[in-house]
Amino acid sequence: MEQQARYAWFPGCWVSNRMPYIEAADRRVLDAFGIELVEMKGTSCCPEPYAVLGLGRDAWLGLAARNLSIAEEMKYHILTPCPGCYNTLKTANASLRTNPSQRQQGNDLLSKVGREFKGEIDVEHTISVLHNKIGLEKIASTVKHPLSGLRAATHYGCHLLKPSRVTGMGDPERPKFLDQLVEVTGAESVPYMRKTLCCGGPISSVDENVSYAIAREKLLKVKQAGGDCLVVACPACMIQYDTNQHSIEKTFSETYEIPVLYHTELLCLAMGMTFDEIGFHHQVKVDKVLEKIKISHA
Amino acid sequence: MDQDSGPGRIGVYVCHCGLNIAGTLDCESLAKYASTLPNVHVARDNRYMCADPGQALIKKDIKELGLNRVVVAACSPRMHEPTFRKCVSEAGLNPYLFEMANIREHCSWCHPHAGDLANEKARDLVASAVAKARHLTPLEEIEVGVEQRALVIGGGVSGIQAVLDLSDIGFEVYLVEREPSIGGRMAQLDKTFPTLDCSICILGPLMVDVSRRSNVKLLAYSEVERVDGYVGNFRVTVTRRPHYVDPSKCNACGECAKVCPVEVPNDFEVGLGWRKAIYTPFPQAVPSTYVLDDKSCLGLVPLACSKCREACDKSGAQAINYDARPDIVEFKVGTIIVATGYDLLDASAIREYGYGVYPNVMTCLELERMINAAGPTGGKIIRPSDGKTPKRVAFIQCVGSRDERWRGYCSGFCCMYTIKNAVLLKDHYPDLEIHIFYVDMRTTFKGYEEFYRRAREMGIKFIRGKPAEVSEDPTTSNLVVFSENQLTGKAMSLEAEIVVLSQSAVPRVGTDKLTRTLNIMTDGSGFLLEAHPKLKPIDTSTSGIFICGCAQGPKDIPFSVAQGSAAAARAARILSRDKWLIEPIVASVSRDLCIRGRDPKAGCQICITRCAFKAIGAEKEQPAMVNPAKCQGCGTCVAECPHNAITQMHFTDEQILSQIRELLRNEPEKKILAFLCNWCSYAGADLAGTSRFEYPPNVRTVRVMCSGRVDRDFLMAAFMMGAGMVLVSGCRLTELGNDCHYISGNVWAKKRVESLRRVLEGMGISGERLRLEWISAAEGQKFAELIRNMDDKLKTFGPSKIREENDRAKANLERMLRHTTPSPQVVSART
Amino acid sequence: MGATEKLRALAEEESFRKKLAGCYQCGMCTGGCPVAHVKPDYNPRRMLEAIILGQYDEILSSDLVWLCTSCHSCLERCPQRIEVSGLLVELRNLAAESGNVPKLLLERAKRIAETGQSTPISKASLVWREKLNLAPVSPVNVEELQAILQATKFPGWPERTRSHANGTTS
Repeated sequence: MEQQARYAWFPGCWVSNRMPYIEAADRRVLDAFGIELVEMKGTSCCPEPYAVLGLGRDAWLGLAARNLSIAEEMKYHILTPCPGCYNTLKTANASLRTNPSQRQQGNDLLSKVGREFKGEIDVEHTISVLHNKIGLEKIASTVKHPLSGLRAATHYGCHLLKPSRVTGMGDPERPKFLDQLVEVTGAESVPYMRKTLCCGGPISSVDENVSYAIAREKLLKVKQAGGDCLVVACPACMIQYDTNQHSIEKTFSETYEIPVLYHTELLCLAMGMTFDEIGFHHQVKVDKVLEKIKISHA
Repeated sequence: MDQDSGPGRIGVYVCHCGLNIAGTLDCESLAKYASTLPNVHVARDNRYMCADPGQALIKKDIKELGLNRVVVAACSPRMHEPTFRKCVSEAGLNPYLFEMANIREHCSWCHPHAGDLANEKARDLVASAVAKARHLTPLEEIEVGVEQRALVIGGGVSGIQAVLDLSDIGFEVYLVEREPSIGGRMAQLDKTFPTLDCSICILGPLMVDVSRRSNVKLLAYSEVERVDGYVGNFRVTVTRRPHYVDPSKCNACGECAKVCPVEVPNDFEVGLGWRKAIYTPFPQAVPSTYVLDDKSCLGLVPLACSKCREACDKSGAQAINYDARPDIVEFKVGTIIVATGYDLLDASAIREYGYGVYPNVMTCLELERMINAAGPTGGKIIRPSDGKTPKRVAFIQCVGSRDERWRGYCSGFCCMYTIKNAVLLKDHYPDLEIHIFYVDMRTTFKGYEEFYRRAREMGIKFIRGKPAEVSEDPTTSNLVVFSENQLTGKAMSLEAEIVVLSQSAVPRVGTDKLTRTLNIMTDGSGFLLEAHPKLKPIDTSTSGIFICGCAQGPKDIPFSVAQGSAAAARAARILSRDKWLIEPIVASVSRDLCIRGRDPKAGCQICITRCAFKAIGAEKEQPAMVNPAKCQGCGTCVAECPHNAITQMHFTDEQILSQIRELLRNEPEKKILAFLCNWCSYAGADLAGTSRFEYPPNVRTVRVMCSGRVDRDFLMAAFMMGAGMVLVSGCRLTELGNDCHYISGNVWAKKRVESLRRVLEGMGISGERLRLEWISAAEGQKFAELIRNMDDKLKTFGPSKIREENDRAKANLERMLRHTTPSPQVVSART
Repeated sequence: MGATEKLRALAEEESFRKKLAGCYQCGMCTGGCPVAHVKPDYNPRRMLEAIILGQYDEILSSDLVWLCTSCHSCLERCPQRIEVSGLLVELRNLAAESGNVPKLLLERAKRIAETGQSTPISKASLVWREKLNLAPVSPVNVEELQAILQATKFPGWPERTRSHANGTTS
């Protein structure tokens, strides 16, 4: 592959510590296009918007600035698989770059550990690199096993799209990039209602019932539209729709039976890997999906 | 009496204005002081100078004492300058030999507790007016001839009204309309609120009337290309697009359209229907002729297709001619009325509502055409996706309006037309469920609130809440509207089969180009700008050009019609005279001083490029010349000329410098010298007084017509004379727009002041001592706060620091002033 | 200054007040809010109105501020460009200061302060990482992290966590 680029890899706590198969899948896909991921040393949680930003903006700014400064030292842009980390780091980066008092505050905190934020690197997500830098054509050329017949309902999630002037991923009302990435695999993107609805995941530790009620709305609509599966691009959305699906079913005495696949998982399947090779663990069984796309487990 | 023999005999009149002035100032002493000033022959005080006895006093003195200059110290000149000018001219004195000192709005009203300091300020203001009066010269108003003919651009209902009124009064009128037919937006409507009149039925007769009048020349399918000249004397060039059909031969039989093979979306039907390449826009079109759209036609080449001509020849009319060419028409008019109407915001830009993506989301105008019996569906409401009759329709208001992401303003007529459309729908389809999502219901005019009630009585439901999004059910193409229902306080969703959007009215496409052609301005939202929002809603700042209808801002039909008549009246004021008088406070170039005259190789075009009204021109190797009829009197060219070759009548350098000298005579280091533009900042300062906002009395004001007039010399002279702080204030200049009465005078003022500030800093004068601010006529509070703020700042400097800085800069200032100003008076200014 | 006073100071600060004054209560925020549609008590528009009207105590003592999912739909769509979800963050910060924080979030905060990670690595993940040939997770520089946190008011700090859990602040 001609494209040679190096990024500082920021997997984020949820991917490394709970769903490392996301990291593996993203790495496989990025590797196929010659993207090299360099380990960042000493980084912490991005930090997380609920337990850190919600409790203290200054702490959030300081920890984010520290993570950014580590990448600056390495002289690489950051690439992260997690939309939450993407949103946090990109927002903090923009704030520190453009707001003089924020920058002052950030650097005051960094000075305590002998660091400085200079505003020299950018933040990317796997999808922004795939879609904008590699391009659909190149991706299409790696598809060996088209996933024809698969009716996938794409869920964009919130943090790649909004606030749109920070995230820079295009129109948040009717985004296209995830549908395009799914269709490049040969699957069909199924239209359904309330496509841009939030998964509700962030508040599951605050009020589970409300959180599940929000997730339920989407599961109902996907079921109504006749989707074979949900495709997500975020570990938190994955946990909400997959890991928690049975609990949601129980809470509302309903069944959805909607398998949830991850976007790079889908790409890896289309590139010809077997399901076990990719190594995802799903709570909701994906057998029907695999049958439809004629891919075996092993 | 000898008016031209120099300053001679000045009469000063101090007005008590009841207690308005006398309650705070000692008017008697002020008059006594005035009488001690050089060249003042008589000084009196009087209770009400503007009343008959007061005026009689002035006239008597002029006649009996041979006064040749008059100063009245009273209210703001914006109030009574015209009154006193008329008064002195009735006594035989040239009205421009009169000056006012503003000791009410700028003194007694805003310094009620300043005691001696207020009296001191009044004395300085009087001395300043007297000083200027010494240098005043008699001026004659400029007479221009008037072409007694009008041009109206735009044939919507507002333009039509203007045309008919002017025609009735007896003037010849040209009506230029861009579309093939007049009628504008009103022709597209079905019924009008609140009476539910059939729109084209009430408009039609007016349209026909326009076409039947012998003194109205209707140029349809035409555009104004170029306008030269000035009030009373505009030379207009119009390009007429070729119809390829001779209107005099076409009898609108329609045989051509029957055979035309080309179909394109029909603009009149807002894209809902089709038309042929040869078409007439709608049945009641005026002029009633077909037109061949050369952009969609197969090529006007008979070998490619000549079906329409064959059909026309066969029918006997023989009206089609493929060889037609654009036609250029030139004519002269005395006044121009702009009535170009509005467009609607492209609703697909508001992505959350899915217009353009979901077939069953429509715009208000599309619905209007659907309801219309002559429209593309014959008056039936059908869902675009499947042609079925809907059971539930949702309307969404404020789409793109009152929205900082699109248009911040309220679009004015949408509440009413939505109620009207809902009422019509409910009338045709009694079982149809209608929900209107609104933010506020604005039903302000006669019969409007009653109409709103009628809608509710018919069972139309109103939900307060601006929907966040519209989502489509892919299986049914139904739409779900997500909104808060504030009346119940709950978020809700509503499924509907059609959603109708009321999007913002926006300025017509082409407005920009037209403003450049006519040299008129637009406001911050792109609509045409009126000369004064309250008192002059029809005039523009360019004499002789008027605006009416939605071109000036979104409004309903009665308002548009009223403005059309108003524009006709304003135009008639000018057209009814043989000669029109123009205020003589214009610029004039000295042929001797202009560098172009002194050095034939000099290509200086500075004044020419600065003039926003294109009033200055120059022949090759000739000095520049100002066309006094086009000159609006801002004075920007005067300040910009690097050779001091231009002067402004009634606001000469000499006059203004003499004012500055008097205002800074006593303890200048404690004073704030303020140059205020007549239209905005001076008015804002007046308002501060009228509203009785108190501020420190150490500010001294100089009135100029435009901040663009404020010469660098004035500012340098002020510091050389020891001023503490100097303020230059003009009409608002912000990112959103420019309110300058003279279009761009304030832009030049800004450049000039900012660059001079850097120069002054280099000389040792702190930059904060030269302030540039934008104060509008409505910002009295802001003016008062500004002066307080500046005074605080001045006090932190302290008189000795001020003197120190001024002394340090003095030599440099003197040198610069000696260089640029030939006047010895400035150089030998105070020590 | 207590949290209520801080909210008042924020609300009355000129540039903030002017920005918030743009709100004409259109309800677009609530109309698109995923939480409001399933829990009617939760109403961002009403929260803004409460601030405009000065009802600060009510907002800070309610649990509702913690229910925002930060989906940012409100911020994206507000016709007056008010950053509603950003304001919710401010409210959460102030609520936290007055001791109003959900227990689970406090625990997570504590974990971040102590380990630098929001979620611990599960045993299963360790196995999966090995199977998938992923390098071990890079260790956090906890010293740097804590040095920064110490200079802030972050309540995840052990003593602070305790006092926050008790409803008192330090």
